[in-house]
Amino acid sequence: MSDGLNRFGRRLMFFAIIKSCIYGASCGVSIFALLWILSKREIIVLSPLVSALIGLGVALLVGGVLFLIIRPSRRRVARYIDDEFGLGERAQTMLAYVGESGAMVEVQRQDAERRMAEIPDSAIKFKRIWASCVALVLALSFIVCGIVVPAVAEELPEIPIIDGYEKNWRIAELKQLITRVSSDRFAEEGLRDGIVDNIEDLIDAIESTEEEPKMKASAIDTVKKIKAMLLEYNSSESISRAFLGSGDAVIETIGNAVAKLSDSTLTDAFVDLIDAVDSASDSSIVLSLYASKLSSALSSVSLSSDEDALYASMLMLANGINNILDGGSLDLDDLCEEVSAATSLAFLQQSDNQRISNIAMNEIIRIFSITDDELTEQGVEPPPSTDTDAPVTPPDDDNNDDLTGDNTGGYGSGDNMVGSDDSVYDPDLDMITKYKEVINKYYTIFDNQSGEISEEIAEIARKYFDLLLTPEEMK
Amino acid sequence: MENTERITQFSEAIKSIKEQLRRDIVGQDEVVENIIIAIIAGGNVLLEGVPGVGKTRLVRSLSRILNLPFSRIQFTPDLMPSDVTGSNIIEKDAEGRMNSIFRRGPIFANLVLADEINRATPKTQSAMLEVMQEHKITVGGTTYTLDEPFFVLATENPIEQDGTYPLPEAQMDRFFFKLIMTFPTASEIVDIVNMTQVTMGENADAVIDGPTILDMRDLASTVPVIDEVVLYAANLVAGTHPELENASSVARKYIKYGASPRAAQALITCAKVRALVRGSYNVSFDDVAALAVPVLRHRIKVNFNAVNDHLSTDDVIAMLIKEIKR
Repeated sequence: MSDGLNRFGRRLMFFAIIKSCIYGASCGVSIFALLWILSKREIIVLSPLVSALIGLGVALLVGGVLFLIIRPSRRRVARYIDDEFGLGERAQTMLAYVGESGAMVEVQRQDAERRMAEIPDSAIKFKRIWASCVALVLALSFIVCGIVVPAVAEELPEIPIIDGYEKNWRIAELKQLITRVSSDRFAEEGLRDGIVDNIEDLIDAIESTEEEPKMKASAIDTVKKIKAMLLEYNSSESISRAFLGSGDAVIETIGNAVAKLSDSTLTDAFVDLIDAVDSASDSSIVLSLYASKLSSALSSVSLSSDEDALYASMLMLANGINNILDGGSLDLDDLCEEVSAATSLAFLQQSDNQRISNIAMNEIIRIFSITDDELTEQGVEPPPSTDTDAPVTPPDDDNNDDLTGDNTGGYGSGDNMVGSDDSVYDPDLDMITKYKEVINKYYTIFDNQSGEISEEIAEIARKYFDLLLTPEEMK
Repeated sequence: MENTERITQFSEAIKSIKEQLRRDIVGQDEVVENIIIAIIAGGNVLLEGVPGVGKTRLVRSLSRILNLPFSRIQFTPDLMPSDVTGSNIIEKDAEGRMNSIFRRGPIFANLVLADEINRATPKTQSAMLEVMQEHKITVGGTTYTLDEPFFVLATENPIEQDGTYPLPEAQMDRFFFKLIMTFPTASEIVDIVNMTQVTMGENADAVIDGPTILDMRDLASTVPVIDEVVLYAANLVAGTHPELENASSVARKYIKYGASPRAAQALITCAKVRALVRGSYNVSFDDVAALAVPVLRHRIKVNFNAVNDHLSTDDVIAMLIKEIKR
């Protein structure tokens, strides 16, 4: 057999093996990377091992098939030599006449051998090497993509970041809220201090982070704490809950009035109580029943009459009914009036507590744009809304406002709330309304009923309104 | 004789023929080479060229170089077939008896120059058919075999078509090649003028003889050729036929009728000689492609589309070569 053809054949076979390996490996790696990416993106479900095995299979298949296609047969080698080196079909003719004898055939063979021998090994090039490079680069690109593309499960949610401007705005708003709470003259001091402490803790918390979720979590936590503090200071809810569980309609109405901190509802409940006693054939039995249920409900509330005025007034009602049964001097009407008077002051105090707590909570909710759903998710019932004109987003920064200053126009240190447009919870209406309207209404009630209440209560109320009204308004 | 020695002699003979021809012919290298190829291959050649480009001189010079019996027939409209082939005549012998004897015509030579062959009538032209293909002549029921080697070198003038009779396709097919002798360049004309100042006669010397030519033909016939090259030649010829099912687009568009299988035979036979002339010992695709134009140009007829597109027969063949895959 021809030495020249063998030499070329060996080299071309080597190239064919290399080429088959490159293309096979490229296809296998690409398929593996593709399957890997699809698995990571959860488009298909395949473990990396299975993907690797499929890739290996594809590599072997493609490499094998490609080798079968491009493997250099002797004819292909001869054709390659003739085409590539311009031998004028010498190699092909030599191959075609292998085994044949003849003078001219022999001369032709020698001529072909001589021409092939003149071609150096270095002239036998790896054809289309760029295509192999492209295949390799593509395969590597797929692998890089496979590494870079994150898995769906590993994908981290984008954390919303609050910029410094909005953060400062929130801190300024919270500081303003602190001022507003601490300057309130009606809510209990302990509650106000507690709310202020919690807001300061919230400021500290948001100063230490830029991440919105963390800020919101801190804010919701603060709302939760304020709500807990309100329950601690206001006994209305625990008392009303005890009354609502008594199973008696009249006592439940009293419970509703307590929950709403509503004098008028309480008055209506007492009217129902008196009517129920009056309409009974044996009033002592009914009274005894009410006394028993009231005492039972109050005993379930872990409060003492010394600590809580509302509890004391309710206890006064239960004890008064027992006194009536025992033949005491008071009748039921008088008892109800006394209890109403005592309850009214407690209602007023707890209403103020509720008002300032609700303001604080709603302000925090507004500042941090917390939705009802977000509160509910954290087990916090949204507080009753309070009307506010304050913006839910920071003001434009065009004029470089001093955000630390009081620029909202709201209630601030030294402001007189009377006549202002600030809002307050009206327990009678069970809604947020203008403070001016509330104070005027109570003043009118007080003024109209001055002859019907005890002088002691009237004096307390007068002092209260004196605190609120300016000298001009007094006139 | 050793094979390498024969090949060496072949090469030297070719070289000598070319050298001697250059003594009488200026330029026309391709025509000269193709005539040599045709002579060695044993084919006839039709030379076409305007008057004065050296057609007759080329053939006369060739006859001197080949050292072969040469005859020239000037074809005219009144030339009769018997003027070419010879005829039986009545002759009285020494004893006074009348005998019919055959007097040989000018065709009885090894190298025949059929000058301006298209001026003879078709009847006389057809008298050349048998002799060109079979190298035999039948006169009066008797067949005479011509001495080998035998060649007909015909010339024709592409202009002055009045009073001419175009050669019939059957006769055209007998020519291996139709060679076009182009008009010489100015410098070549200068050389021609200088060359003929001393004498108008030919200067070439005899360098080979008939047996040598036959030996060269025999050697050339042994040149190996692969099937792919033969197939290529066949495809080229088949590609000239527009009526075939898988005809080439060139044929469909520009060819009226195509070449006969003799063209493929001529292509391969001449390609073998050309390979040896060019120093190769096998036939390549290039050999076949190079000979396609002289082999096919007189065997195909282009249609009006080619004329309309200002394409000559040679242009169409060149397009065909490009279209047919190797």
